[in-house]
Amino acid sequence: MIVVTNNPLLHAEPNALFVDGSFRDVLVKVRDLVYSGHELVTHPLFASLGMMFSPYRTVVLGESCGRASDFEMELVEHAIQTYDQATEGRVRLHEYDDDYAWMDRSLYYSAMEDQGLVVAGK
Amino acid sequence: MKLEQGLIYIKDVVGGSENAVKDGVLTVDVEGLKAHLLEDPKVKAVEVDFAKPGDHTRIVPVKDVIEPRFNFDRVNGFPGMTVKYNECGNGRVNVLRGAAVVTIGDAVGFQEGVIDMWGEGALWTPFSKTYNIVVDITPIDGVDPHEHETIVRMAGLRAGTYVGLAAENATVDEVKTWELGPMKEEAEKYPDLPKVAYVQMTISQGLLHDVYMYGVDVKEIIPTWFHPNEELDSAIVSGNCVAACDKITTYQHQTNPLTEDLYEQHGKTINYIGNILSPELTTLDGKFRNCDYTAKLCEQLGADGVIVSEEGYGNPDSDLVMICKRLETRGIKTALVTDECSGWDGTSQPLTDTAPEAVAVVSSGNVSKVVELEPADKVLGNLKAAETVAGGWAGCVGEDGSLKVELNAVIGATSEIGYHNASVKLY
Repeated sequence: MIVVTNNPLLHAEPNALFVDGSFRDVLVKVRDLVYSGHELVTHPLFASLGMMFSPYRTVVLGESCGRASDFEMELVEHAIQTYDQATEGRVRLHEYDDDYAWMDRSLYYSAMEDQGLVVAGK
Repeated sequence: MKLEQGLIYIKDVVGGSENAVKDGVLTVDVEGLKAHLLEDPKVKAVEVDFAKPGDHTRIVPVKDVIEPRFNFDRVNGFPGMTVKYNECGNGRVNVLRGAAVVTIGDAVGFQEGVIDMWGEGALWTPFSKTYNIVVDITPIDGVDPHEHETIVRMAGLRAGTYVGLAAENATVDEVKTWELGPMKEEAEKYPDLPKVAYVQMTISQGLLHDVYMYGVDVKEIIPTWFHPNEELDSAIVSGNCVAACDKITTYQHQTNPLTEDLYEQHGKTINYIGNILSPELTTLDGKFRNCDYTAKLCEQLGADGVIVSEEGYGNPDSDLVMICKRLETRGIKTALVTDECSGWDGTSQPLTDTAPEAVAVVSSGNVSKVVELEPADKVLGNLKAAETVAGGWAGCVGEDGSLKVELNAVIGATSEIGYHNASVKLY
């Protein structure tokens, strides 16, 4: 399992692949991994527009199976397009970055519980 | 199941020493309401205010909206949440139609959810037309956002039930009856009508992104059939409050217009065979499982047609399209109800995912549409939240307190079950 994240709260997470960059940089890293055969465990996007404005994102992928899935390649490309469209032309405020980090981590934990995985130290 | 709703039309709301309705004027025992909510040891303070249609009042950030009611034939309240489990959907309930309890407070700092009671903003939210009892709940110190959300959610539901006590002895203006028998009986009554099911997708992903049925966190369940009356009788409660424009508030569950419209057509153009709750999960495995299961349920129930409504935006678009694809592949005609994120000028790709099978799609509006909201005379809630209402993006607040925001900040502006004001104009 690979946890692709730019969330500082998950920097030390086991299996973390830390991206020193933006939400979009995380999506691009996820896309690269999907194209190299890693399957998506969680969807690249959140479920609400409010969270689309988060500076942080955590996406979980599986180990590489060597062959990229057409469905997942399309899904991750669409996710990047959607992200660009939803956040186009705006200037970010940083006032609530800590809250966004907290929320992203909380939703990551919920996703892991859905998968039946226990997150150490939660 | 047979549910009888006694509708009491509310035309004004005032504070007083009892909960009662006289000539359409709802009196709320404000001090009693505060004391009732303070019985929860995790509630530190409660403020109650009223916001009426036309007032120059802005409510922000809104957590949930609840319709006050009184149930006669089951334990009064929200089964599985505020009272012990009772089956919903049968018997008599009196409804304070036109009144709403609105809960506010910021569990995390960046939350949206604006209701303007006047002007441009009022055009976009259905809750500018209700007489709102606004309940501002402050939890005790030291609670984390999970606890905070739970405290506010439970207080809102309890406030709805408390205000709803006024409905017990009020004069009823109109009675609506919702009755739907077992599928076999209905099929025998209407053998020539197509069987239609309603798939209701709900955000089910964690903190501020949850929904509950009979108190069960629906991200823990596989999709399930339920009787439409159960939702119309308060079995489903909202626990999500980030997707302001397209969250389904508890009020909108209690009054789901898709369910009511399907009922209206039952026996005329369709044979309505009930609702399916389909949780929108965040994991791909979960999405595949729930989308397959939803389509399988519809097929096994013998549905000829299905209406699917979404909640939220982003990863739920994948579920919406996958459910559509699976239903159409099984030969079941499918119509989708969703909003779109089409950019400020409305010309961009509206959904994250698409499929050639999605040939009947109803849009409930463009969440990206920018609206300008005048400064309010009075702000109920957190003025700071109003200042960052566009989700943490700079430049949306004028020096005079006016707001320039996308519809995504306005409660219920693009409701994906159709409980909203936006409409379609043919040119």
